[in-house]
Amino acid sequence: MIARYFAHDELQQGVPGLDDPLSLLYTASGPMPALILVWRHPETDEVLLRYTTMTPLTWEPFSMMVSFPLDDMLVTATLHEGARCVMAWGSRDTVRAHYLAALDLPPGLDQLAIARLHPVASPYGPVPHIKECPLNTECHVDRIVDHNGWRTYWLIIEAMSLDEEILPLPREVVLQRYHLYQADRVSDGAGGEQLRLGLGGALLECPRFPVGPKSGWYSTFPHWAGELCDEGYLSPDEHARIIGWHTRYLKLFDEVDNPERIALHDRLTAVCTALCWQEWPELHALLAG
Amino acid sequence: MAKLFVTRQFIRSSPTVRGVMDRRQVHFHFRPVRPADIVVSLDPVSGEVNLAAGTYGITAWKPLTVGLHIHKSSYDSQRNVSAAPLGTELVIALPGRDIVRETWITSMPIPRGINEGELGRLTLRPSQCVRPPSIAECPVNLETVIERIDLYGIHHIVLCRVLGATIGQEFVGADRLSALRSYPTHECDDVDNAWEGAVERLSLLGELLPCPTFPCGPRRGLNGTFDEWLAELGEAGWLAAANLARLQAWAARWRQLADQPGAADRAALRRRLSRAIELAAWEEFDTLNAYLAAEEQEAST
Repeated sequence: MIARYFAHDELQQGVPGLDDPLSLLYTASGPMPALILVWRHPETDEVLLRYTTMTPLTWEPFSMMVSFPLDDMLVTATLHEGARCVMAWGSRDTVRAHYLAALDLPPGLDQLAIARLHPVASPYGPVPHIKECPLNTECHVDRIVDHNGWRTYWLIIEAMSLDEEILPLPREVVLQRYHLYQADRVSDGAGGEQLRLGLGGALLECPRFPVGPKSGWYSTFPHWAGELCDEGYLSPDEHARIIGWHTRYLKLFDEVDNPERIALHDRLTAVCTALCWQEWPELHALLAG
Repeated sequence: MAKLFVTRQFIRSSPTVRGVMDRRQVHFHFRPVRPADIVVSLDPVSGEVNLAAGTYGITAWKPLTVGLHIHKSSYDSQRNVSAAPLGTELVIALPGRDIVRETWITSMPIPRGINEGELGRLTLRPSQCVRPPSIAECPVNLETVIERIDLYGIHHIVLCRVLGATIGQEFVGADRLSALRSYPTHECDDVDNAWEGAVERLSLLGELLPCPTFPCGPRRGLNGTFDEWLAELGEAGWLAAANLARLQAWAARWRQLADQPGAADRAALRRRLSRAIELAAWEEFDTLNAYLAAEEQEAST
């Protein structure tokens, strides 16, 4: 693929010849999962909404990050560590609501009414879930980190709600129902920006064993090699040879210029390549040599 | 539409429902789909190249900053990225639909020092301003530097500032929807294989949904202000002059009262102003003008 390099400033401002100065930034960054964050004002108890995008954190504890510019006072002045909030994940029916939650409206108004969203009381906390959003994840703010002019909120998920009718639906269908993505922003050439959202489409399956371990994730090379032997892809001798090479290679790992290490590295690369592409005759030839 | 409320512990228990064969399906209904990346790093001892699939997010848009999460027991990324000093350079490549197998290969348990790019038959080429190479088959390669690392739960959270990016020429200024249908792939879910293990499935975006524009919101969209929006509604004839003046007066009064929860007329003004903005936001201008006129009449009697 022929590629062109753009420095950071060019990503931000565009380059001559491109119609939209924003297009490089969003072409480079890709789409982001989009949501409406819901929380309560710490003094008035009124429900507040703000559009944002999500960054994954960790599975244990199940958590996600959202971020806002430090000068977005609607958020930074009212959402504090320990507070409860809800990440409301919308559908094509809530595109306008997402946009309204991103607009700079006078603070303190009834944003739910303005966006025509309806609260659903949660049995787990004081912040309502959003009826029109198929998925709601209820969180508490565990950590706040300011970085590069943005405030990141590290949210631990406590509870969730899902529209019951979705439960039995196949993933292919669900992908096209929710959640929304921030596809990009486009410029109108007169200082204006339009937000564009997106929905999921195609589903593509990755290879399965023998291309990778039976567990799919979280295994080791020796374990995978053992499984290949168990299932007859490798003979016991071939398995022993691979494990022997691997063990010796790791022992020599720090000796980068050692000819034996270099040879083992090349052999293991060739063997792993044949495994990854299921080229069994080539694999057996490599292990016989 | 009824909502099922559950705890996070429930989701972790791989819940099933009648008629659903795959024990992972319901679990993944509760987990948002995340854009995938391939991180290109260098082994700190041997300098050998490592490729590792993961997911990412944008934590700041200016300067463009990418958030990665790297499992504590990930094969090589723990050493090359999570334990690396701040300032270490990385390439964060965005994979497309043409390299699903290759993307999967970068997530396999390959011995340390073996270049997953070579195994995946990917073409590595020098980057412009960082040491790790870029992946020619990826539409986008972000050249980044690590600025912050935090251990959080079972992952390290790594914030990387983008120095620049190579973008495939065919995607520069390309139609956005066709680009979104090409890259990046997303980690969508896992399904069962024959050994109770997982088969990862990637997904792509399939549809573009533009948000509304003026008169729903200001002409400048997200760059505009509320005051601009009101003035523009008046100029464009969506609001009668008297109604525009009334709405502007309400907004001015609201700014005085918003931070005074105990003020006598705050609740009524909040209700009125919210209703007026709702009608404008949903482009129901006949109703809005009638509403403002009626409120004017009520106030004068």
